Amino acid sequence: MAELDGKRALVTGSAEGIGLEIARVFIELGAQVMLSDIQDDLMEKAAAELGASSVHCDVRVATDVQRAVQATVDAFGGIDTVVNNAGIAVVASLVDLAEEDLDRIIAINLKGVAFGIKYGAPAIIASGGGSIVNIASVADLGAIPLIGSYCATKAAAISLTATAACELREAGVRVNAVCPTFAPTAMVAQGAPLIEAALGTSLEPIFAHFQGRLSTTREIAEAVAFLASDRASFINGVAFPVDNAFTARLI
Amino acid sequence: MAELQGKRALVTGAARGFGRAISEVLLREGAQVMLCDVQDDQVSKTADELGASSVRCDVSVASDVQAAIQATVDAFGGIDVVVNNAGIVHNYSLLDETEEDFDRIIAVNQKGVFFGIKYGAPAIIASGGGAIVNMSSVAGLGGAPLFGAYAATKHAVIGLTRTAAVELRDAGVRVNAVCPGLAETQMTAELAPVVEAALGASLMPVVQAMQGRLVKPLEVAEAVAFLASDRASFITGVALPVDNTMTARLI
Repeated sequence: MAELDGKRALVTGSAEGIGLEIARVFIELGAQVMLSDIQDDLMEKAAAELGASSVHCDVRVATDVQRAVQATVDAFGGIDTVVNNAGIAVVASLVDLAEEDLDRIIAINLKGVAFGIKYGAPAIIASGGGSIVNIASVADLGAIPLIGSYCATKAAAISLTATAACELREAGVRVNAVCPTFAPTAMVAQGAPLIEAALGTSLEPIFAHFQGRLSTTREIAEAVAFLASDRASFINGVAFPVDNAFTARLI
Repeated sequence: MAELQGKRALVTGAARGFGRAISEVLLREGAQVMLCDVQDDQVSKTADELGASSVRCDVSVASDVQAAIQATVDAFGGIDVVVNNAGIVHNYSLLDETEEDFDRIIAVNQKGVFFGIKYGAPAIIASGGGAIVNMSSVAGLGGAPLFGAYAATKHAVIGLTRTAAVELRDAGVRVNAVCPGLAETQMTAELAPVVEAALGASLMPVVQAMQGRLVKPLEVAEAVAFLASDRASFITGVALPVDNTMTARLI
Protein backbone atom coordinates (compact mmCIF):
# COMPACT_ATOMS: atom_id res chain seq x y z
CA MET A 1 0.00 0.00 0.00
CA ALA A 2 1.37 3.37 -1.01
CA GLU A 3 1.91 5.94 1.70
CA LEU A 4 -0.89 8.29 0.60
CA ASP A 5 -3.39 5.77 -0.79
CA GLY A 6 -6.90 7.14 -0.49
CA LYS A 7 -5.82 10.66 0.49
CA ARG A 8 -7.45 13.64 -1.20
CA ALA A 9 -5.24 16.71 -1.30
CA LEU A 10 -5.27 20.36 -2.31
CA VAL A 11 -1.88 21.93 -3.10
CA THR A 12 -1.71 25.71 -3.53
CA GLY A 13 0.86 27.33 -5.80
CA SER A 14 1.26 24.09 -7.70
CA ALA A 15 1.65 25.29 -11.30
CA GLU A 16 5.43 25.06 -10.99
CA GLY A 17 8.37 24.61 -8.63
CA ILE A 18 7.97 23.03 -5.21
CA GLY A 19 4.16 22.91 -5.39
CA LEU A 20 4.17 21.04 -8.69
CA GLU A 21 6.67 18.52 -7.35
CA ILE A 22 4.57 18.00 -4.20
CA ALA A 23 1.59 17.24 -6.44
CA ARG A 24 3.68 14.83 -8.51
CA VAL A 25 5.00 12.93 -5.47
CA PHE A 26 1.55 12.82 -3.83
CA ILE A 27 0.09 11.26 -6.97
CA GLU A 28 2.96 8.74 -7.16
CA LEU A 29 2.20 7.80 -3.54
CA GLY A 30 -1.47 7.19 -4.25
CA ALA A 31 -3.19 10.51 -3.48
CA GLN A 32 -5.76 12.34 -5.55
CA VAL A 33 -4.56 15.91 -6.02
CA MET A 34 -6.22 19.19 -6.86
CA LEU A 35 -3.71 21.71 -8.19
CA SER A 36 -4.38 25.38 -7.56
CA ASP A 37 -2.56 28.50 -8.67
CA ILE A 38 -3.09 31.93 -10.17
CA GLN A 39 -1.09 30.97 -13.28
CA ASP A 40 -3.95 29.20 -15.03
CA ASP A 41 -2.22 28.26 -18.29
CA LEU A 42 0.85 26.84 -16.57
CA MET A 43 -1.34 25.03 -14.04
CA GLU A 44 -3.64 23.47 -16.62
CA LYS A 45 -0.62 22.20 -18.54
CA ALA A 46 0.77 20.69 -15.32
CA ALA A 47 -2.59 19.15 -14.43
CA ALA A 48 -2.87 17.57 -17.87
CA GLU A 49 0.66 16.18 -17.58
CA LEU A 50 0.00 14.70 -14.11
CA GLY A 51 -3.55 13.60 -14.78
CA ALA A 52 -4.67 15.81 -11.88
CA SER A 53 -7.50 18.29 -11.47
CA SER A 54 -6.97 22.01 -11.12
CA VAL A 55 -8.73 25.13 -9.89
CA HIS A 56 -7.82 28.79 -10.09
CA CYS A 57 -6.95 30.17 -6.67
CA ASP A 58 -5.44 33.43 -5.52
CA VAL A 59 -4.61 32.59 -1.88
CA ARG A 60 -4.95 36.28 -0.91
CA VAL A 61 -8.65 36.07 -1.63
CA ALA A 62 -10.71 34.27 1.00
CA THR A 63 -13.44 33.26 -1.43
CA ASP A 64 -10.84 31.80 -3.82
CA VAL A 65 -9.44 29.59 -1.06
CA GLN A 66 -12.95 28.55 0.02
CA ARG A 67 -13.76 27.69 -3.58
CA ALA A 68 -10.55 25.68 -4.03
CA VAL A 69 -11.28 23.66 -0.89
CA GLN A 70 -14.86 23.10 -2.07
CA ALA A 71 -13.67 22.10 -5.57
CA THR A 72 -11.45 19.47 -3.96
CA VAL A 73 -14.31 18.13 -1.86
CA ASP A 74 -16.59 18.09 -4.91
CA ALA A 75 -14.03 16.35 -7.10
CA PHE A 76 -12.92 13.68 -4.64
CA GLY A 77 -15.80 13.37 -2.16
CA GLY A 78 -13.81 14.88 0.69
CA ILE A 79 -10.43 16.37 1.60
CA ASP A 80 -7.75 14.94 3.86
CA THR A 81 -4.78 17.20 3.20
CA VAL A 82 -4.14 20.84 2.40
CA VAL A 83 -0.64 21.91 1.43
CA ASN A 84 -0.30 25.66 1.79
CA ASN A 85 2.59 26.15 -0.58
CA ALA A 86 1.83 29.32 -2.57
CA GLY A 87 4.33 32.03 -1.78
CA ILE A 88 6.41 34.88 -3.15
CA ALA A 89 9.68 36.53 -2.26
CA VAL A 90 10.57 40.22 -2.31
CA VAL A 91 14.21 41.26 -2.45
CA ALA A 92 14.73 44.59 -0.68
CA SER A 93 16.47 45.76 2.46
CA LEU A 94 14.06 46.67 5.23
CA VAL A 95 14.96 50.32 4.69
CA ASP A 96 14.15 50.13 0.98
CA LEU A 97 11.11 47.86 1.29
CA ALA A 98 8.00 49.52 -0.17
CA GLU A 99 4.81 49.36 1.87
CA GLU A 100 2.89 47.89 -1.06
CA ASP A 101 5.45 45.08 -1.42
CA LEU A 102 5.18 44.37 2.30
CA ASP A 103 1.38 44.26 2.10
CA ARG A 104 1.55 41.97 -0.91
CA ILE A 105 3.96 39.45 0.62
CA ILE A 106 1.94 39.39 3.85
CA ALA A 107 -1.26 38.84 1.85
CA ILE A 108 0.17 35.83 0.01
CA ASN A 109 2.62 34.20 2.43
CA LEU A 110 0.79 34.87 5.68
CA LYS A 111 -2.90 35.44 4.94
CA GLY A 112 -2.75 32.70 2.30
CA VAL A 113 -1.66 30.19 4.93
CA ALA A 114 -4.21 31.51 7.43
CA PHE A 115 -7.00 31.09 4.84
CA GLY A 116 -5.78 27.58 4.01
CA ILE A 117 -6.11 26.70 7.69
CA LYS A 118 -9.35 28.63 8.28
CA TYR A 119 -11.20 27.07 5.36
CA GLY A 120 -9.22 23.85 4.97
CA ALA A 121 -9.47 22.55 8.55
CA PRO A 122 -13.30 22.44 8.80
CA ALA A 123 -13.47 20.54 5.50
CA ILE A 124 -10.78 18.11 6.68
CA ILE A 125 -12.65 17.59 9.96
CA ALA A 126 -15.87 16.96 8.01
CA SER A 127 -13.94 14.33 6.04
CA GLY A 128 -12.82 12.51 9.19
CA GLY A 129 -9.53 14.21 10.04
CA GLY A 130 -6.23 14.65 8.27
CA SER A 131 -3.32 16.96 7.96
CA ILE A 132 -2.19 20.40 6.83
CA VAL A 133 1.36 21.07 5.70
CA ASN A 134 2.57 24.65 5.38
CA ILE A 135 5.62 25.45 3.31
CA ALA A 136 7.76 27.77 5.38
CA SER A 137 11.49 28.20 4.85
CA VAL A 138 14.82 28.13 6.61
CA ALA A 139 14.28 31.88 6.43
CA ASP A 140 11.91 31.54 9.38
CA LEU A 141 14.67 30.07 11.51
CA GLY A 142 17.15 32.90 11.12
CA ALA A 143 17.85 36.10 9.30
CA ILE A 144 18.89 36.56 5.68
CA PRO A 145 19.82 40.07 4.54
CA LEU A 146 17.58 41.58 1.83
CA ILE A 147 14.68 39.19 2.31
CA GLY A 148 13.51 40.44 5.68
CA SER A 149 9.88 40.62 4.62
CA TYR A 150 10.05 37.02 3.38
CA CYS A 151 11.70 35.89 6.64
CA ALA A 152 9.00 37.64 8.65
CA THR A 153 6.13 36.01 6.76
CA LYS A 154 7.76 32.58 6.97
CA ALA A 155 8.31 33.01 10.71
CA ALA A 156 4.64 33.92 10.95
CA ALA A 157 3.73 30.78 9.01
CA ILE A 158 5.59 28.73 11.63
CA SER A 159 3.69 30.50 14.36
CA LEU A 160 0.35 29.83 12.64
CA THR A 161 1.43 26.20 12.29
CA ALA A 162 2.12 25.84 16.00
CA THR A 163 -1.13 27.48 17.10
CA ALA A 164 -3.23 25.63 14.54
CA ALA A 165 -1.65 22.35 15.65
CA CYS A 166 -2.68 23.06 19.25
CA GLU A 167 -6.18 24.27 18.38
CA LEU A 168 -6.97 21.45 15.95
CA ARG A 169 -5.29 18.51 17.67
CA GLU A 170 -8.39 17.16 19.38
CA ALA A 171 -10.38 17.55 16.18
CA GLY A 172 -7.95 15.22 14.40
CA VAL A 173 -6.11 17.69 12.17
CA ARG A 174 -2.32 17.71 12.35
CA VAL A 175 -0.55 20.88 11.19
CA ASN A 176 3.14 20.95 10.36
CA ALA A 177 5.57 23.10 8.41
CA VAL A 178 8.40 22.14 6.11
CA CYS A 179 11.35 24.53 5.96
CA PRO A 180 13.23 24.18 2.69
CA THR A 181 16.28 26.14 1.74
CA PHE A 182 17.43 27.40 -1.65
CA ALA A 183 16.10 25.06 -4.33
CA PRO A 184 16.23 25.09 -8.13
CA THR A 185 12.99 27.04 -8.55
CA ALA A 186 11.92 30.08 -10.51
CA MET A 187 11.75 31.99 -7.21
CA VAL A 188 15.43 31.40 -6.48
CA ALA A 189 16.44 31.94 -10.12
CA GLN A 190 14.74 35.34 -10.05
CA GLY A 191 15.76 36.38 -6.55
CA ALA A 192 19.36 35.21 -6.37
CA PRO A 193 20.76 37.68 -8.95
CA LEU A 194 19.07 40.57 -7.15
CA ILE A 195 20.59 39.52 -3.83
CA GLU A 196 23.98 39.02 -5.48
CA ALA A 197 23.84 42.47 -7.07
CA ALA A 198 22.92 44.10 -3.77
CA LEU A 199 25.53 42.21 -1.76
CA GLY A 200 28.16 42.52 -4.48
CA THR A 201 29.05 38.86 -4.05
CA SER A 202 28.08 35.52 -5.54
CA LEU A 203 25.73 33.29 -3.56
CA GLU A 204 27.32 30.10 -4.91
CA PRO A 205 30.09 29.83 -2.29
CA ILE A 206 27.53 30.54 0.45
CA PHE A 207 25.23 27.80 -0.85
CA ALA A 208 28.17 25.41 -1.14
CA HIS A 209 29.28 26.08 2.40
CA PHE A 210 25.95 26.15 4.23
CA GLN A 211 23.89 23.63 2.34
CA GLY A 212 26.39 21.76 0.18
CA ARG A 213 24.25 22.15 -2.92
CA LEU A 214 20.76 23.27 -3.88
CA SER A 215 18.09 20.83 -2.75
CA THR A 216 15.95 19.21 -5.40
CA THR A 217 12.25 19.98 -5.27
CA ARG A 218 11.74 16.23 -4.92
CA GLU A 219 13.62 16.22 -1.60
CA ILE A 220 11.22 18.82 -0.25
CA ALA A 221 8.16 17.00 -1.59
CA GLU A 222 9.16 13.73 0.08
CA ALA A 223 9.16 15.44 3.50
CA VAL A 224 5.75 16.96 2.79
CA ALA A 225 4.40 13.55 1.78
CA PHE A 226 5.72 11.91 4.93
CA LEU A 227 4.15 14.59 7.15
CA ALA A 228 0.85 14.30 5.27
CA SER A 229 0.77 10.54 5.73
CA ASP A 230 -0.62 8.55 8.63
CA ARG A 231 2.94 7.43 9.38
CA ALA A 232 3.37 10.88 10.95
CA SER A 233 0.34 10.45 13.20
CA PHE A 234 2.10 11.87 16.29
CA ILE A 235 4.07 14.59 14.48
CA ASN A 236 2.18 17.82 14.97
CA GLY A 237 3.17 21.46 15.33
CA VAL A 238 6.63 20.85 13.97
CA ALA A 239 8.84 23.02 11.74
CA PHE A 240 10.85 20.47 9.78
CA PRO A 241 14.00 21.77 8.04
CA VAL A 242 14.99 20.19 4.72
CA ASP A 243 18.29 22.00 4.49
CA ASN A 244 21.33 19.71 4.53
CA ALA A 245 22.54 21.07 7.89
CA PHE A 246 22.06 24.78 6.98
CA THR A 247 20.26 25.68 10.21
CA ALA A 248 22.25 23.24 12.36
CA ARG A 249 25.46 25.05 11.39
CA LEU A 250 26.80 28.17 13.08
CA ILE A 251 30.02 28.56 11.06
CA MET B 1 6.42 0.52 0.05
CA ALA B 2 9.94 -0.56 0.88
CA GLU B 3 11.86 2.62 1.50
CA LEU B 4 14.86 0.88 3.09
CA GLN B 5 15.41 -1.90 0.57
CA GLY B 6 19.07 -2.89 0.58
CA LYS B 7 19.94 -0.92 3.72
CA ARG B 8 21.93 -2.55 6.48
CA ALA B 9 21.23 -1.18 9.94
CA LEU B 10 22.39 -1.42 13.55
CA VAL B 11 19.87 -0.46 16.24
CA THR B 12 21.11 -0.02 19.81
CA GLY B 13 18.86 -0.66 22.81
CA ALA B 14 16.74 -2.87 20.58
CA ALA B 15 15.54 -5.45 23.11
CA ARG B 16 12.34 -3.57 23.88
CA GLY B 17 10.49 -0.28 23.57
CA PHE B 18 11.51 2.15 20.86
CA GLY B 19 14.47 0.04 19.74
CA ARG B 20 12.30 -2.99 19.15
CA ALA B 21 9.69 -0.95 17.26
CA ILE B 22 12.39 0.72 15.15
CA SER B 23 13.86 -2.67 14.27
CA GLU B 24 10.39 -3.89 13.31
CA VAL B 25 9.72 -0.95 10.98
CA LEU B 26 13.20 -1.04 9.42
CA LEU B 27 12.70 -4.74 8.68
CA ARG B 28 9.23 -4.06 7.24
CA GLU B 29 10.76 -1.45 4.95
CA GLY B 30 13.24 -3.94 3.57
CA ALA B 31 16.37 -3.35 5.67
CA GLN B 32 18.60 -5.98 7.21
CA VAL B 33 18.82 -5.20 10.91
CA MET B 34 21.29 -6.06 13.67
CA LEU B 35 19.67 -5.59 17.07
CA CYS B 36 21.93 -4.86 20.00
CA ASP B 37 21.32 -4.36 23.68
CA VAL B 38 23.02 -4.79 27.02
CA GLN B 39 20.22 -7.22 27.97
CA ASP B 40 21.54 -10.03 25.80
CA ASP B 41 18.92 -12.68 26.64
CA GLN B 42 16.12 -10.26 25.89
CA VAL B 43 17.67 -8.94 22.68
CA SER B 44 18.27 -12.40 21.24
CA LYS B 45 14.66 -13.29 22.06
CA THR B 46 13.43 -10.09 20.35
CA ALA B 47 15.68 -10.76 17.35
CA ASP B 48 14.31 -14.31 17.07
CA GLU B 49 10.75 -12.98 17.15
CA LEU B 50 11.51 -10.47 14.41
CA GLY B 51 13.68 -12.82 12.36
CA ALA B 52 16.76 -10.61 12.75
CA SER B 53 20.32 -10.91 14.11
CA SER B 54 21.55 -9.65 17.45
CA VAL B 55 24.70 -8.84 19.35
CA ARG B 56 25.32 -7.86 22.96
CA CYS B 57 26.41 -4.24 23.32
CA ASP B 58 26.81 -1.91 26.28
CA VAL B 59 26.88 1.46 24.51
CA SER B 60 28.84 3.04 27.35
CA VAL B 61 31.80 0.82 26.41
CA ALA B 62 33.67 1.93 23.30
CA SER B 63 34.91 -1.55 22.39
CA ASP B 64 31.34 -2.93 22.63
CA VAL B 65 30.10 -0.34 20.14
CA GLN B 66 33.02 -1.05 17.82
CA ALA B 67 32.27 -4.76 18.04
CA ALA B 68 28.56 -4.24 17.32
CA ILE B 69 29.35 -2.20 14.21
CA GLN B 70 31.86 -4.78 13.07
CA ALA B 71 29.30 -7.54 13.67
CA THR B 72 26.83 -5.65 11.45
CA VAL B 73 29.42 -5.20 8.70
CA ASP B 74 30.42 -8.86 8.95
CA ALA B 75 26.82 -10.08 8.87
CA PHE B 76 25.58 -7.90 6.01
CA GLY B 77 28.72 -6.93 4.07
CA GLY B 78 28.51 -3.27 5.10
CA ILE B 79 26.49 -0.80 7.15
CA ASP B 80 24.31 2.07 5.96
CA VAL B 81 22.35 3.06 9.05
CA VAL B 82 23.08 3.35 12.77
CA VAL B 83 20.22 4.12 15.14
CA ASN B 84 21.61 5.26 18.47
CA ASN B 85 18.56 4.49 20.54
CA ALA B 86 19.87 2.97 23.79
CA GLY B 87 19.11 5.14 26.77
CA ILE B 88 18.26 5.16 30.45
CA VAL B 89 16.32 7.47 32.72
CA HIS B 90 16.11 8.21 36.39
CA ASN B 91 14.08 10.82 38.18
CA TYR B 92 15.68 12.88 40.90
CA SER B 93 15.67 16.59 41.43
CA LEU B 94 19.03 18.11 40.55
CA LEU B 95 19.60 18.68 44.27
CA ASP B 96 19.09 14.98 45.01
CA GLU B 97 20.93 13.67 41.96
CA THR B 98 24.10 11.79 42.95
CA GLU B 99 27.32 12.20 41.03
CA GLU B 100 27.36 8.47 40.39
CA ASP B 101 23.90 8.51 38.80
CA PHE B 102 24.81 11.59 36.78
CA ASP B 103 27.95 9.92 35.44
CA ARG B 104 25.99 6.78 34.62
CA ILE B 105 23.30 8.52 32.55
CA ILE B 106 25.91 10.55 30.68
CA ALA B 107 27.82 7.35 29.94
CA VAL B 108 24.80 5.65 28.37
CA ASN B 109 22.76 8.45 26.81
CA GLN B 110 25.50 10.81 25.71
CA LYS B 111 28.71 8.82 25.37
CA GLY B 112 26.69 5.99 23.85
CA VAL B 113 25.53 8.27 21.05
CA PHE B 114 29.02 9.72 20.72
CA PHE B 115 30.50 6.22 20.30
CA GLY B 116 27.80 5.33 17.78
CA ILE B 117 28.83 8.35 15.70
CA LYS B 118 32.58 7.96 16.26
CA TYR B 119 32.67 4.30 15.25
CA GLY B 120 29.54 4.14 13.11
CA ALA B 121 30.30 6.98 10.70
CA PRO B 122 33.63 5.61 9.35
CA ALA B 123 31.99 2.23 8.70
CA ILE B 124 29.07 3.93 6.94
CA ILE B 125 31.48 6.01 4.85
CA ALA B 126 33.40 2.84 3.94
CA SER B 127 30.06 1.37 2.81
CA GLY B 128 29.34 4.32 0.52
CA GLY B 129 27.45 6.72 2.79
CA GLY B 130 24.23 6.57 4.76
CA ALA B 131 22.48 7.91 7.82
CA ILE B 132 22.64 8.01 11.59
CA VAL B 133 19.51 8.61 13.66
CA ASN B 134 19.90 9.49 17.33
CA MET B 135 17.19 9.14 19.94
CA SER B 136 16.75 12.43 21.74
CA SER B 137 13.50 13.40 23.45
CA VAL B 138 11.19 16.31 24.07
CA ALA B 139 13.48 16.54 27.11
CA GLY B 140 16.18 17.49 24.60
CA LEU B 141 14.18 20.61 23.76
CA GLY B 142 13.00 21.74 27.18
CA GLY B 143 13.14 21.09 30.89
CA ALA B 144 10.95 19.00 33.16
CA PRO B 145 11.08 18.60 36.93
CA LEU B 146 12.87 15.42 38.03
CA PHE B 147 14.26 14.92 34.52
CA GLY B 148 17.28 17.21 34.88
CA ALA B 149 20.05 14.70 34.19
CA TYR B 150 18.03 13.01 31.47
CA ALA B 151 17.21 16.36 29.83
CA ALA B 152 20.88 17.36 29.93
CA THR B 153 21.90 14.20 28.08
CA LYS B 154 19.08 14.54 25.56
CA HIS B 155 20.02 18.19 24.87
CA ALA B 156 23.58 16.91 24.39
CA VAL B 157 22.34 14.36 21.85
CA ILE B 158 20.99 17.24 19.76
CA GLY B 159 24.29 19.08 20.11
CA LEU B 160 26.15 15.98 18.91
CA THR B 161 23.64 15.50 16.10
CA ARG B 162 24.07 19.02 14.76
CA THR B 163 27.85 18.97 14.85
CA ALA B 164 28.07 15.47 13.39
CA ALA B 165 25.70 16.52 10.59
CA VAL B 166 27.96 19.44 9.74
CA GLU B 167 31.19 17.47 10.02
CA LEU B 168 29.98 14.45 8.07
CA ARG B 169 27.81 16.14 5.42
CA ASP B 170 30.41 16.13 2.68
CA ALA B 171 31.39 12.56 3.48
CA GLY B 172 27.81 11.47 2.73
CA VAL B 173 26.57 10.68 6.22
CA ARG B 174 23.37 12.37 7.36
CA VAL B 175 22.79 12.68 11.11
CA ASN B 176 19.40 13.50 12.61
CA ALA B 177 17.66 13.23 15.95
CA VAL B 178 14.12 12.22 16.86
CA CYS B 179 12.48 13.80 19.92
CA PRO B 180 9.55 11.71 21.17
CA GLY B 181 7.17 12.72 23.91
CA LEU B 182 6.20 10.39 26.74
CA ALA B 183 5.61 6.96 25.27
CA GLU B 184 3.78 3.70 25.79
CA THR B 185 6.97 1.97 26.91
CA GLN B 186 8.23 0.12 29.92
CA MET B 187 10.48 3.13 30.62
CA THR B 188 7.42 5.34 31.08
CA ALA B 189 5.60 2.68 33.09
CA GLU B 190 8.57 2.49 35.45
CA LEU B 191 9.17 6.20 35.81
CA ALA B 192 5.56 7.39 36.10
CA PRO B 193 4.96 6.22 39.71
CA VAL B 194 8.31 7.66 40.81
CA VAL B 195 7.56 11.05 39.27
CA GLU B 196 3.97 11.04 40.53
CA ALA B 197 5.09 10.22 44.07
CA ALA B 198 7.68 13.01 44.04
CA LEU B 199 5.33 15.59 42.52
CA GLY B 200 2.27 14.43 44.46
CA ALA B 201 0.23 14.59 41.26
CA SER B 202 -0.83 12.28 38.47
CA LEU B 203 1.12 12.50 35.19
CA MET B 204 -1.75 11.62 32.88
CA PRO B 205 -3.64 14.95 32.99
CA VAL B 206 -0.39 16.68 32.05
CA VAL B 207 0.28 14.18 29.27
CA GLN B 208 -3.30 14.61 28.06
CA ALA B 209 -3.01 18.40 27.98
CA MET B 210 0.42 18.58 26.40
CA GLN B 211 0.47 15.67 23.96
CA GLY B 212 -3.08 14.29 23.89
CA ARG B 213 -2.01 10.73 24.68
CA LEU B 214 1.16 8.66 25.01
CA VAL B 215 3.09 8.18 21.77
CA LYS B 216 3.21 4.61 20.45
CA PRO B 217 6.71 3.23 19.82
CA LEU B 218 5.72 2.46 16.22
CA GLU B 219 4.93 6.16 15.65
CA VAL B 220 8.47 7.01 16.71
CA ALA B 221 9.84 4.21 14.55
CA GLU B 222 8.11 5.54 11.41
CA ALA B 223 9.94 8.86 11.81
CA VAL B 224 13.25 7.05 12.31
CA ALA B 225 12.66 4.96 9.18
CA PHE B 226 11.86 8.04 7.08
CA LEU B 227 14.99 9.86 8.28
CA ALA B 228 17.12 6.76 7.63
CA SER B 229 15.81 6.45 4.08
CA ASP B 230 17.09 8.10 0.90
CA ARG B 231 13.81 10.02 0.77
CA ALA B 232 15.38 12.24 3.46
CA SER B 233 18.52 12.85 1.38
CA PHE B 234 18.57 16.61 2.10
CA ILE B 235 17.53 16.31 5.76
CA THR B 236 20.46 16.42 8.14
CA GLY B 237 21.19 18.11 11.44
CA VAL B 238 17.51 18.14 12.36
CA ALA B 239 15.86 17.43 15.72
CA LEU B 240 12.36 16.19 14.82
CA PRO B 241 9.75 16.26 17.59
CA VAL B 242 7.28 13.35 17.62
CA ASP B 243 5.17 14.88 20.34
CA ASN B 244 1.69 15.86 19.14
CA THR B 245 2.29 19.58 19.86
CA MET B 246 4.00 19.32 23.27
CA THR B 247 6.98 21.48 22.27
CA ALA B 248 4.92 23.75 19.99
CA ARG B 249 2.59 24.56 22.87
CA LEU B 250 3.11 27.19 25.55
CA ILE B 251 -0.06 26.44 27.52
